[in-house]
Amino acid sequence: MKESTSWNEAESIQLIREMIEATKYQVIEERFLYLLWGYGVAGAGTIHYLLQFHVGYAHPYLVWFLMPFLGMVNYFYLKKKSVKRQSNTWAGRVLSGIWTGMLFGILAAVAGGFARGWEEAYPVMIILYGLASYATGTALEFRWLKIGGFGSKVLGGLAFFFGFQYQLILLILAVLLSFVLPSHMMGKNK
Amino acid sequence: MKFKELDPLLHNQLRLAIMSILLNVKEAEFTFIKEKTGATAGNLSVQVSKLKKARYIEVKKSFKNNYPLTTCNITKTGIEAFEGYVNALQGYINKKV
Repeated sequence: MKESTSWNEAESIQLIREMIEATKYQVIEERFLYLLWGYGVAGAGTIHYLLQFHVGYAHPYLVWFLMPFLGMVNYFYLKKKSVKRQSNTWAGRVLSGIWTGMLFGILAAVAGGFARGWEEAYPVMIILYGLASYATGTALEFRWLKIGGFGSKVLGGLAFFFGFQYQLILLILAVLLSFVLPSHMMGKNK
Repeated sequence: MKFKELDPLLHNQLRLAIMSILLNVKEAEFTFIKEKTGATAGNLSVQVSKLKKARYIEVKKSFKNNYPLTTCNITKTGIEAFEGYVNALQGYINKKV
């Protein structure tokens, strides 16, 4: 940065804007995680659906035990990223709060699934996916996450009216809408 | 109309850039600020010291992977000074318009 002795107030404002822009949290930073969870959950949901309603396998839910492996990939990815990170943005902290909150919400819904049945838990999970995406989209002003998150919440509301077979399809649609679609649009907006 | 005087400590390109960066992040490494401002390490170090002396920022020294690590963060005094500076700037710009 070359320092000038004769700079005016407008240049000061411009400099402040440039520095804020340079340190702005970029939505593309999280693309890998959206793809990981989007395709992971959609894939597991599809396998569950096919095993239960087409193959007639007795324990189709076992496919969900793959999720802790995705959780480990997520953990090591974020750990590696935190080592490289040279700054800690406010937006990053807000997003961390949103997604950690969603994770605990999903775990609570899973506990509810064991206690009250999965038909009651799935709509809550779909709504939580949508809530986190919508909040992230609003915080980062990324339209596709807002649209996907809103759509996911609508699907979550609808899921209360359907049986488990259709809830699985709605869950797959919800993650495609709120995770997969926005992550591909992030690539286009790069 | 009497103008508020611009804080001379902030009315400097590099120091203003440092403060703008730190206002947007909770904390930042010295190398991050150097990269974003494009300043030399020596000049940056001098300006960081001035801001630290005025208690506008805090500077912490630690280690990361066995290498010395310097991190900076803005203080409450720094935020108030920055807000005052931006308000004063606004006054000048409004008058010109």
